[in-house]
This record gives sequence, structure tokens and C-alpha cells, in this order.
Amino acid sequence: MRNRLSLLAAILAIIVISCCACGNTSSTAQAGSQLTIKDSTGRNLGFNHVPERIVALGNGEANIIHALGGNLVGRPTSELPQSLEALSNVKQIGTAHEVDLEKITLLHPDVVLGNNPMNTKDIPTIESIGSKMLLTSANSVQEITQQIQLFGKLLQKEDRANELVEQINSQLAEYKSAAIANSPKVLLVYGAPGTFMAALPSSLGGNILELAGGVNIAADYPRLQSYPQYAQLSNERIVQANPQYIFIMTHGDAEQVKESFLKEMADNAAWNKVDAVKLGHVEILPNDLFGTNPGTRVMEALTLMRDQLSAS
Amino acid sequence: MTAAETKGLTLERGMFKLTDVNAIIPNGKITAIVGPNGSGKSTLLSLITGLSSPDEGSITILGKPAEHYSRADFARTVSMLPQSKEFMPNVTVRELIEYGRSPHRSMFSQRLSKEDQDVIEWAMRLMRIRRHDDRMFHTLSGGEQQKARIAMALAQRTGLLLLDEPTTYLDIAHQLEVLEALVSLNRQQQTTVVMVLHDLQQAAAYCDHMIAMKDGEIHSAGDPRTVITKGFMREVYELEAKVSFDGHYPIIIPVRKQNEEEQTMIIVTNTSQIVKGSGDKLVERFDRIGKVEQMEGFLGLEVLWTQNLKEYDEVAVVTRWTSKDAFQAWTKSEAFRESHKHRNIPDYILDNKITFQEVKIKRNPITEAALGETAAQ
Amino acid sequence: MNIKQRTKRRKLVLLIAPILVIASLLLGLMAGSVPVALVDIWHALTARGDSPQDTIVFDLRLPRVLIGLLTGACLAASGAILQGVMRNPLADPGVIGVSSGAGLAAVITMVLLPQLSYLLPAAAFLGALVSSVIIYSLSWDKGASPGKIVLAGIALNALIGAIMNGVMVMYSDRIQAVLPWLSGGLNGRSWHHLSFMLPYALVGLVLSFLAIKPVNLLMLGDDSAKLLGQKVELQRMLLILLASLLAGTAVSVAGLIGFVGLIVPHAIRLMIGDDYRFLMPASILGGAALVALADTAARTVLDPVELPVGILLAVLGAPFFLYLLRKRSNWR
Repeated sequence: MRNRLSLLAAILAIIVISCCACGNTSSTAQAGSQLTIKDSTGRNLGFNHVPERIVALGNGEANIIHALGGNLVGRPTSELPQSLEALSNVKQIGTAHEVDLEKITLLHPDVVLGNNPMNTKDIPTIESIGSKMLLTSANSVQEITQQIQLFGKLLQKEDRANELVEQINSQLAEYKSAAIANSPKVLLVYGAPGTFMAALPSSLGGNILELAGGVNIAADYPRLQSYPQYAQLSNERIVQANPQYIFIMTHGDAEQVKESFLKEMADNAAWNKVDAVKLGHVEILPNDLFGTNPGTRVMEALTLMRDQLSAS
Repeated sequence: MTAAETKGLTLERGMFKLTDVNAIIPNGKITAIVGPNGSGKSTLLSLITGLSSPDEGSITILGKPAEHYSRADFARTVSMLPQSKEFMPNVTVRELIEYGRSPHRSMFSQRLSKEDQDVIEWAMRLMRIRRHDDRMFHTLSGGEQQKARIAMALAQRTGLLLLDEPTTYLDIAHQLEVLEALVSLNRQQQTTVVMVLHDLQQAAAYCDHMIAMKDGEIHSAGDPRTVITKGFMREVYELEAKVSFDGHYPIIIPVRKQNEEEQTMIIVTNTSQIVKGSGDKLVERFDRIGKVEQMEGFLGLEVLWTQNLKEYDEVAVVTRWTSKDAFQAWTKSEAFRESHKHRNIPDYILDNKITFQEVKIKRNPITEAALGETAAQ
Repeated sequence: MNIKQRTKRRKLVLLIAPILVIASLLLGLMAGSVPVALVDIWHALTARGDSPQDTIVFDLRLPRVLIGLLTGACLAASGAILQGVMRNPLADPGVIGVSSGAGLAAVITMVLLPQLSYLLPAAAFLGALVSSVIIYSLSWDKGASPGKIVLAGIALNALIGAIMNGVMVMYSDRIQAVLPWLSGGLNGRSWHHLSFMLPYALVGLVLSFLAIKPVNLLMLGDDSAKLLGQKVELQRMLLILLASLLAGTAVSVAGLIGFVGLIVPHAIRLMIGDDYRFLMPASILGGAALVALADTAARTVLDPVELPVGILLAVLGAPFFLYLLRKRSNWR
């Protein structure tokens, strides 16, 4: 009896130890890798070869990979803008918030591109299927250019990446040198007039606005510096600031929603005294360019914003 | 005209059952409804007041069918003190009694009229709780609370007042106070009072008319002196008692009975089909079955021999036991095994079947003395 | 509490409550994220022009404070009625599904049908009423006892809550739009919101006074109330309908503000007892003042950001209520 027990214990011990060893192999692989990339969380990811199969959890990342000529095998579930129609055959792998692990596993990706901090929780699960999670964020145009360069390094297509970044930078320089007359004051919001959140300078939308030459009325308040990208702004402050433009980011169809929002604003005495409403400068911004990361299309976003601001 | 009448009242709701109840509540008198638990007294009251509806039958109040009264009118005609103590709000005694005036007040009235005030005072005085009028209800003792609740029913100033067990949780002093107050009410205002009471003696002493119920039916009704008899005690309460009257007050002395356990009986029937004409062989065999009369729990044995069936004789041996264990003890006993020693079944037995039946029995031996007395009634 | 104490407290409460309401109105006009001088406030109210100050006082603060007062009044009245009808001092409008129905309607409108967002108050109001009607019908069995209503409410609230959460998870990139509404707030509410809720609120509050006598009698118990001539089932149905009308009105404009319907009537009850002749007006005034004051605080404390008033109410109110409970617990 005793002999049997000790044999069983020995076998169990061996199994447990070998499992621990298995767990460790993935982290030691870095030592011998050819390519080391540092993502925005500070993690170092090692690759033995240039990734050939890439899954993107966000449209922006998908867009950048495509622009760099990388092989995208998985993209988030959403409607594709016209420019990305080439990607329509790429497998959809769920929304950015709820990734479909099974579909991702089937695709055998070398790397999965996720958002920091939204996909931080998914790192262990991605690694468990033998892939690597690369996290970046895109809360400003600069972060987008950093994304482009990082992915360029990842795909060993640094020249192309630099090209794209140059385009963006030159556009920015152009806007900077020719300031728009009257520095238009803008309120940028997400949502309906009845229940909205103002986009702060720390958000992507806010950053695009600033770079395109507009003045975000939310930028006046030093306290808001410490807030994350959106906040519920007091109506009194809005009336006091009297913005000349109101840009609305929403997820519905822009044309249909515009009518409804305009109606609401016209009816609402809290809004209809503001210059933007009185002059009819209320616009709905397309959701694929604002609100979510547009990737290299951020140039389009900048242009659109610039045009809106210069229109009057 | 009677205060209330029911005709053919029938109701069945799970535990509560009334069957064809024809009750008559005489006007201007005090009526007591008595009977054992579960006989349907509270059910009858709740039907009369409209708190529940009968499956069949009709109820007449003061000569008018109950359905013809509007809710408000009915509340001005009939009032009741329910048995259960429902959620009592945080109010003073006076405020509680004020609620009793609501059938007489319009929806919009905010202040109490002079008449309302007078009635409230009268109700409090009748129930002797005037001195508590500004105390919070929940600070009163049980007896005082009961009196206050009765006062609330009194404030409705109805011609017919029903009370469901008004004295059950009170001490004797409070019980008598309440009963005396009800008698005053009846004498002064000619209010018809109907009360369900458990105390037979109190009921008989204080009422003019008594209705006795058992198992959802009216057993008897009339003057308490004619209703309460020895036979009544036996039939309604299943109690042996000596009954006599001291004036109006009945004296009921129960005879203490032995502790009667409810027993069950197991009947084991062993039925065999025998080749025709050979039945006596089996009967003989059972005659020899050993020592069954000495087994514990044995209640009796019968052998039944049916000879008039066409194809076979049937012999049934019925033994009666106090429990299945007792029977099984017998089958395991030495005597039994010995008599069934030879394992092979005799050839005259065509078929054999054993059945068990459990019967709940309660034994009420009719004694000689009881027989004699019944004859004398 | 003896009757002397109670009478004293009743007088006090009914004296202070209206004063509190007026004070909260004045405070709401004077305080805000943008400082406005008293003389300008007076000017805005009397000789209104087009300056930003005038707009702020007349188009932002004034309607907002009035909406706050009405919202608080309606929620407190609704809670008071429900606590009486259910004979349970812990009942609140959520029990009859008002909050969940309105919430679901709002989520569906804002997330799936943003082109109809100007219909949001109407949708929320309808959602509130429909879900309370459903709960009432589910609990009907020759009558609707409070126990059955609570159970039906629990079941339907769970279902609606699950659907709501499902929608929010499936469209998780859109919930930014919904969150402010779900936390309850008066940001951006103005005259057209007030005109939407005013008729329903006024009708509801007037009917609340008519409800005083039936509720007082229902509190005695179904049997006692019937014996006193009350049509119990009919009254209960109408009262629950009234409660959902009141709460639905409040929630349709202000979003999901909880807490007021439960705490205000209960706190007042602890102070002055169960008689609705005093409980109802005191609750209505108390609720009005509470929400108006809380909203003023919510929009000034973290200037220029606004805190949703529902959150502020919960954070401040819960400890206060616990304190009240402890102090008065020995008196029951």
C-alpha cells in the first residue's frame, strides 16, 4: 500500500513540475528572438520573424496595417468605410469590447493588436493561445503617429511608416502656420443634447479639433486637465463660453440624427441662445473618423474638421 | 324582520368548508355562534360581511339582499371586528376610532363634524377607554387594544355588529368588561350583536340566541338552555360532560376521558386459489399455524372459504395487526417457519396472493352506561 | 413618541417644509457654476434681455430648479403612496417597475434609435407606465395583494434589467450616451422639459391629496378597509397607477433618480407618524426641496463638471437616513 502511494505522489510531482516548466517556456523565448517591440504599456514583445498573420481589435489598427501592406487576417466586427473595402474578406472577430477568442484562435495570429487599457485584461488569454498581444492607444494624433511607427517597426516596413507620418505631419504644419481667422470656439460633444458628454482636449476628437485650428471651450478649465477624455460640462459654462460651433459625435446615421438633434436644440432654451445654434453651425461628425481611432484616415478627419471651421 | 339571514350558503376553500347553511340572526338581540375549531364560524361571519363570496346561496341583511347594498351603505349597516390583528398604523386611540367614522364622511371632508365627535366620545365611554384617548395605540395592553378596536367598529353606528372572537386573548376582567359593554350597547341602542365565542358558558350567559356549528353545518340554534345539552356536548364537541343550569348560567362539567391514542391497523390478506373441493385442506393447514395468538400486536385472525366460484375454491386468511413490523415478526418466528418447513407448495394450491392494507381506526367503545343514558335523553 | 411630541414635530415640519422649498428655489437661482450678481438675477427675472447672464438665470437656472422641485415632489408622493398601499415602509417606485421600464426605453432610444432622441422624455414616460401595468397584471388573481405585486415586480425588474444590460454590452461603444441619463441628472433641462412634465405632475400631485383618505384606510388592512366601506381592489389599482404616473413623470425628464421615493416619505414618517393628512404634504414639500438643493449642489461642487444628482443624493442621503433610523428606533 505504502509503495503505491509514494509512486502516485512521485508521478503527481513530475506532472506538476513539467506543467510549471511548460508555463515558463513562452517567456524564455524572447532571449533568442530577432525582433523586440515595446508596446505602450512598457512590455517588451519578442518575435522570431516578422509577423505574417495579424489580427487587429480596432478599426484604426486594421487601417494602419493595411496601409503598411501587412497581412491582416482578422478585424473587428463593424461596417467598413469605403476606403477599406479591400478588407471585406478579412475575418471578423467580434467587437473591440468583446473579442471572440475562438475565431481569433482559428486564425493562428502571430500578433494581436489591442487597445490600452481596454484590452489589458485580455493579455493572458491571447498568450494562452500561443500569440502575443501588442497594446497601444490613440487618444491623440501624436499617439496615432506613434502607432504607425511602431507597427512599421513590427512589420519591418519603417520606410512606408515614415512616409505616412510625414504626410500627417506636413498637414499639421500647414494648419499650424495658417491659423483660422477669429480662432473659432467649439463645443465638441458625444451624445444627444439631452444627455451629452463634452469631449475634452485629452480625447482624440479634442486633439483633432485643436490641431485643425479650433478652440475647445472645455480647454479653459485647468481642473479638467486631470479628467479622462469626456466629462459632463455645466450648461451655464457653455452659455457663458458661447461657442460658435457645436460638433456632435454620435453613433447613429449622421443625416437622420442631425435632424433630431437640431430639433432638440432649437426647442431647448438652454441651447438655442448659443451662437452656434443661432447661426446654424451645428454639425454631426462621422463616427468612423471621430470617436474611434481612424488610423491613417486621421488625415481625412483633420481635413474635415478644418473645412468645417473655415466654412463660414 | 331578521337582522340577517342566510339561505343555502355553501363555500369550499381548501380548509374552510360550509355546507348549505341556513342561519337566522334575530333582530335586536345578542346572538352567540359557538362550535369547535374549524367548524366554520369565522367563515360564516366573513360571508355575512361580504369579505368573502359564497359558492352558492344567498345572504339577506335587514330584509334586503346583500348585493343590493353599495359598499358605503353596507358599511353603515353592518360592522365587524375581525379576528386577525392586521398592521396597526402609528396613531392614537382617538384617531383609530375616527377611522370608524369614514363610511359617514365624504371623500373631501377634512374636519370631523360635531356628530362625528359625539359618536367617538360615546364609543370611547361605552368601552371605558376614554382616559386613553390620546395615547398611541401600540402602547396599550392587549385588552385595551381590543376595546379600542371594538370602539372603532362601534363608531360606524351600524344596526348590526359582528365580532369574531372578541374575548379570546383577554384576561377574565377584560372579557367581562367587553361582554358587559356589548350588552349595554344592545339594551341602549337595540343594536343586533353577533359574536363568535369559545367560552360556552360566557356565550350562554350573555346571549339571547345561540347558533352551534360543526363541520361547516349548523347543528342547532335557539335559546341557549335548549341548545346546550349533554347530547349537544357529545355531538358537537365530542365530549362527555354533565350539563345543568343555574338560572341563565350553564354549568358544564366535562368528564375526564382516558388518553385515547389514535391507532392504525394493518390487515394482511393471504388469498389462495385452491383446486375445487380441496379448500378444506388449506383451512386445516391454517388451523395448525402455530402460536399466532401469542404474537405481540396481533389483533385477530379470520379464515374465509368461498365455495361457489366455478373453477376453483378461494380461501382467504385475514390477520390483523397493530403494525407491519408485528406481522413481519410473526413471519420470522420459529413457529411460523416450522409450519412452513416443507418448501414445496402443495399441489392443491393453484395461486397465492398476499395484500396489505392500512386502516386508520379510532375506537370509541360504546359503554353500557352511555347506552343507558342515551336512552334516557 | 407621545402625542405631545408628535404634535410639536408636526407643526415644526409643516412650518419648515414650505420655507425649505422657497429657500431651495432662491438658492438654485443664486448659485451656479457661473457667478451672477444678485442685481443681475433680479434683472433677468423682471426685465429679461439677451445677455448670457439673462439666459443663464432665466433659461438655465429657473426652469432647472422648477424641474428639480417638481421631480422631487412627484417622486416623494409616489413613494408615500406606494408605502401606504403596500403597507410596507420600505416600498419605493422601483418596486412597481417604473425605473426599469423607463431605463429600458431610454437605453433603446439612445443606443438603437438616436434619430428619435428628441422623443426621449415621452419614451421614458411610456416605458415607466407600461412596465408598471405589466407588473400589476402579472400579480392579478381576483385582486392584487401587495405580496404578489412585489414578487411580480422583482421578476420583471430582473428581466428588464437583463435586457438593458444586454443592449449596453452589445453596443458597448455607444453607452457613453446613456450613462448620464441612467445616473439621473438635470443637466441641459429647460423650459420645454418643464412644459412636458408640468401637466402630468400637477394632475398627479393634486390626485395625491385625494389619495390621502383611501391610503389611510388601506393601511388598516384589506379586511378592515373593506368593512369601512372601501372598494379595496379598485382603490389599490388606481393608487398604483397614480404612483407610476408620478414616478414616470419624474423619471422621464430627470433620468433614474432613486432614493427620494424611498427615503423622504420614510424619514418624514419616522418624525411625524403614519397619518397621511400630514405625511403626504410633508413628503411632497420635503422631496421637492431635497432634489432642488441636491441639484444645485451637484452642479456647483465640481465646477465646471456636473455630478449626476442621483449619485449625490445617494452619497449624502444614505448616512443621514441611517442616523435618523438609529435616533428614532426606540420609539416604535
